[in-house]
Amino acid sequence: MMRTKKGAIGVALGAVVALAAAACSGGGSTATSSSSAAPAAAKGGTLYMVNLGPQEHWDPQRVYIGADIEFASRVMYRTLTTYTAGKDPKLVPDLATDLGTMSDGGKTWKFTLKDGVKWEDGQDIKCEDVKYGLSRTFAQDVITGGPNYIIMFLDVPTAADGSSEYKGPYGAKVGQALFDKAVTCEGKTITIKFKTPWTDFNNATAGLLAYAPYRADQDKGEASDYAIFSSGPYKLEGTFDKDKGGKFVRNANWDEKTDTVRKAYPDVIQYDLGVQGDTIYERLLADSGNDKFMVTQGSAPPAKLAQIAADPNAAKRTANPTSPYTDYIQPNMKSAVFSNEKARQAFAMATNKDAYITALGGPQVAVATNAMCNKEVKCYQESNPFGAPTKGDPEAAKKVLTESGLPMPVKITVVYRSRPTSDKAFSSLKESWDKAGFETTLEPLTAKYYATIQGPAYATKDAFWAGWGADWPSGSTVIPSLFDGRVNISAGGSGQDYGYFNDPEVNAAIDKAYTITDADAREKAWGEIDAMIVKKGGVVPLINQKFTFVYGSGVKNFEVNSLMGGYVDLANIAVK
Amino acid sequence: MSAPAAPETLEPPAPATAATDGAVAIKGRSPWEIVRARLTRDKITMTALVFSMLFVLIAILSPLMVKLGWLKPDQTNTELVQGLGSLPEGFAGGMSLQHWLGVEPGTGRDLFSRIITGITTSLTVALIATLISVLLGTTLGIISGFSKGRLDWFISRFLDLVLSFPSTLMLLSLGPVLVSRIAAIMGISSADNKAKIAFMALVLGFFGFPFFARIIRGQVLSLREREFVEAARSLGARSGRIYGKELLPHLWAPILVYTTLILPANIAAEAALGFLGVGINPPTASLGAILNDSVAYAIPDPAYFIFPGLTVFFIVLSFNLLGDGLRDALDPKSGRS
Repeated sequence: MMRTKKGAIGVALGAVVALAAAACSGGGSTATSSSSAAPAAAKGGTLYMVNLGPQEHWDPQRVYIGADIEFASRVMYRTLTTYTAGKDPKLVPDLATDLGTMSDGGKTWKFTLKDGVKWEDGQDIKCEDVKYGLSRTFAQDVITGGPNYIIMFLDVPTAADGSSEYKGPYGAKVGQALFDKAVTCEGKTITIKFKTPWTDFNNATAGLLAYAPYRADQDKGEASDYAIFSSGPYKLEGTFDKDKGGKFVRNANWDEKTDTVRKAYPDVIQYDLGVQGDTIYERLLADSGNDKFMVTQGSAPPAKLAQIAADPNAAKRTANPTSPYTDYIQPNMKSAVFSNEKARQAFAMATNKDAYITALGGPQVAVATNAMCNKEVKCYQESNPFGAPTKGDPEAAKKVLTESGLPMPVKITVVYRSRPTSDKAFSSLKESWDKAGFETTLEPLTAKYYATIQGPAYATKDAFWAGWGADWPSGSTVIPSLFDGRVNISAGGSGQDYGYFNDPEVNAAIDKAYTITDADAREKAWGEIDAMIVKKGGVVPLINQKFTFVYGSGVKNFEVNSLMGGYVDLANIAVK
Repeated sequence: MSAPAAPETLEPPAPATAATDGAVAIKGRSPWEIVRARLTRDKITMTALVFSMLFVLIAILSPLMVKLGWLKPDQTNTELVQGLGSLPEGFAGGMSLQHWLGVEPGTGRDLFSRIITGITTSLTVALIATLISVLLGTTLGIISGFSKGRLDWFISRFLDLVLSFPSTLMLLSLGPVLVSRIAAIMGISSADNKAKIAFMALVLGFFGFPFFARIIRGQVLSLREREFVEAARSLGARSGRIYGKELLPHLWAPILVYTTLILPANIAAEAALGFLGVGINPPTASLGAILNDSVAYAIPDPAYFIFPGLTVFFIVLSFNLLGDGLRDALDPKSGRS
C-alpha cells in the first residue's frame, strides 16, 4: 500500500504495510499531466521542493509513502526497472539491462546489471548490493515500515508463526544460508527464486524502492535511515534533517549514458520541510523570488481552490491529476449490526457519496466510485449492485434495513480519521445514514489511526473509513491486501482487513486469480472479485481522490506520473 | 469587602442633593444593597450582565430550539456550496433569509444554528470546568490557609506542581487515552460526546483550580487572625465549623468575582482545545471546532471566519467585563475605581 503525503492534502490516506500479492503486468493507465508546452529546458539552477514533513523514512527499504518513492527514485535511488516520465509511463530497465527474465511460471527472476552504473563514491553497483538490499527487509526489528511482499514470496521457509526463518543481515544473521540459496549472484546477474509465482515482479521493482540495491558497508541499520547513499543523479550534501529537509547536489559518479529516464536538469534540489499547506500555496500564488522555482507534493487545500482558479497567473500553473488512491468504508463483519447482510446493503445504499465529495472540496478534489480498484488501474470495473445513485437512496435503503429485522433505529458507530474536511464529510454521511433508519455515532481518531482500528479493542465498532492506493498498477496489490481474511486477520487484530471480511467464495476466487497467467484476464478477474466484495456488502467504496498542484512560474516540464503515485515527476523537470 | 462594619456607609449620597433634599432620611444599608447600588450605577457592567445572561439563556434554550426545528445545525444543504472548493455561493458566505449568517463551506449547514448550538456546548464545558475549579480551589484554599505548618506547605507545593504542568501538552497527548478511561468509568462509548465534555471540563477545571486556591488561601491567611475567628477557636469550635460558618461567608465576594473571571478564560480555553482538534465529536458544534475549521477560509470566505470569531470575542468580553465590574463593586480598594 502506498500512502499519500501527510498534511496539506484534504483527505490524507494511508495504511500500514501490505501483505499479499502476485499477478499481472500493469501500465494501462495514462498520466494526467499539464506540462507547460516545454520551452527548451537547460541544465542549471535550483529547484525547490517544499513539503510539510516530517520525513518518515529515506531508507529505500523503509520508504512507503508514494510521494517519497516518486521523489527518491528520480533523485537518488535507482532501481532494477523504473517507469518513464510523461503522459504514458512505461516500464523500462534502469539499473538492469532489460526488464528481467521470468522462468518457471514466475517463480524465478533473473536481472543483469548494466556496465558503468556507480555509487556516489565511484564504486560499481554490484549484484551483491542488490542482493544485500533484498535481504534487509527480513530484519523486521530494524527495517520497519516498508513493504513486506518479499518476505511472503521469497523462497525462504516460514516459521510456524508466519515469520520468515531468515532474520536479516544484522547480528547473528539467523538463516543467512536459506536466503543465500534463494538469491544468488553470478557476475553481474542476480537470480531470485520465489515460493509462489510473482509474475509482475519487474513492476514491483519499479513501483517500490524496497528492491533497490544497498551497499553493506554503508548500512548502520536504524541509524542510516536518513543517511542517503546515492546511485542517482543527485547526492545529499551535508545531512538530512527529518523536520527541516536537506540539499541535494549533482552526483559526479552518475553517468547520463546509463540512464534513459532521468534528465537531471537542475543543478541543485533544495528539499524544505516544515511548511504548512496553506503557506505553501500562499507562496505559490505570490510566485516571487525563489518560489518561482518551487514545487510541492501536497495537494492544494480545498479552501485555496477558488483563489487558485481566480488568479489567471496561477491557473495556468495548475495540474489536476487523478491520484491512485481510493477512500472507502468497510463495515465490520464482526459487529452485531453489520454481520447482517441486509444492514450492510442498506448502509451502502444510503451512503451519500456526492455530499462526501462536496465536503472534501468538490469535483476537483474527488470523483465518486463503486469499486476498490482505482479508475486509473486496469482492474477497475463499472458496477452498481444495489442500483443506488451516488447521492444515495435513503428511502430504498430504509426498506432494505426494515427487512433486516433489526430494531429501528439501528445504532452504529463509524470510526474515521479526523481532519477538518473529513469531520464535515462524515457529518454529511451521518445525515444520509440516519435518514435511512440508522442512528450513527461518529468516532473521529486523531492519532495512530490505522494502528488503532486494527487492534482488538476496535473489533466491536461497526464501520471504518480507510484509504488505499495500489503499490503497482495491479488488482493484486488491492484485493488480497485488503480483503483476504486469511493473510490479514490474526489474534492481534484485523491486519489491513479492517472489517474482518473473510468470505470463502472470495478467498477461492483470489486463489484462482493468482494462477491466471494472462495479464489482462488476471486483472479482469481482480475486477470481478472487487465487484463481488462490494455486492456482498464487504466494502463501500467512496471516491477516487484528485490532486490539485500549483508550481512556480519558473518551473519547466512539470509532469505528474500516474504510475508512481500521481505526484510531480522530477525526471524531466527544469528551472532554466 | 472583608470589613462589613463601619466604612462602607461612607458611600455618599451626592452632597448637593442631601443639602437641598433634607426630607430624605439617611437609611442604613446592608453591604449587599451597597454592592447592588454600585452595580446598577455602572453602565458597562450592567450591559455586560445583560449580555452574559443572554448568552446563558441561549445556551439553555438552544436544545429546545433544535427540537422545535427553529435551528437546523446538522442539516446539510450541499446545493448551496457548489462554488469551487465547495465554497458557498452568494453574498457574504451565502447569507440569506433562511441562513442569517450564511452557511458552512463544504456542507452548507446553517452557520447561525451552528454558532447558537456551539455556544451551548462551549458554555457547558466552561461552566462545569469553572465549578470544578471553584469547589476544589475553595476547599483546598481554606484548608491550606487556615492550617499553618506542614499541611499548608504540602498543599502549596501541590499547587505549584499543578501550575508548572504543561497542561495543553497533556491535553493533546493524553486526550484519547483519558477520554476512553472516562467513558469506561461513565459506562458509555468513547465516541459519546458526554465523555469528551467530561474530559475537557475535568482537565480545564483541574488546571484552573490552583489560581483559585491561592487567592482563597491569601484571603484566609488574613481572616484567620481576626477576632471573630479567634473567638470561635477559643470557644472550642472545630475546624470544620470554622471553615464553613466563620470563613466561608467572608469569602463569597472573591469567589463570585473570580468565578466570573475564570469562566471566560475557560470559554476561550475550550475554543482553543477545539482549535487544536481535541474538542467535541462532529457533527455536534462547538465554538472552538467552528473557529478551527474557519481559519482556512479566512480569505476565500471571510464571513465564515468573522462571525464565529466575533461570537467568542463577545462572550469572553461580556463575562470579563461582568467580572471586573463585580470586583469593583465588591472590593472598591482594588481595580479600576
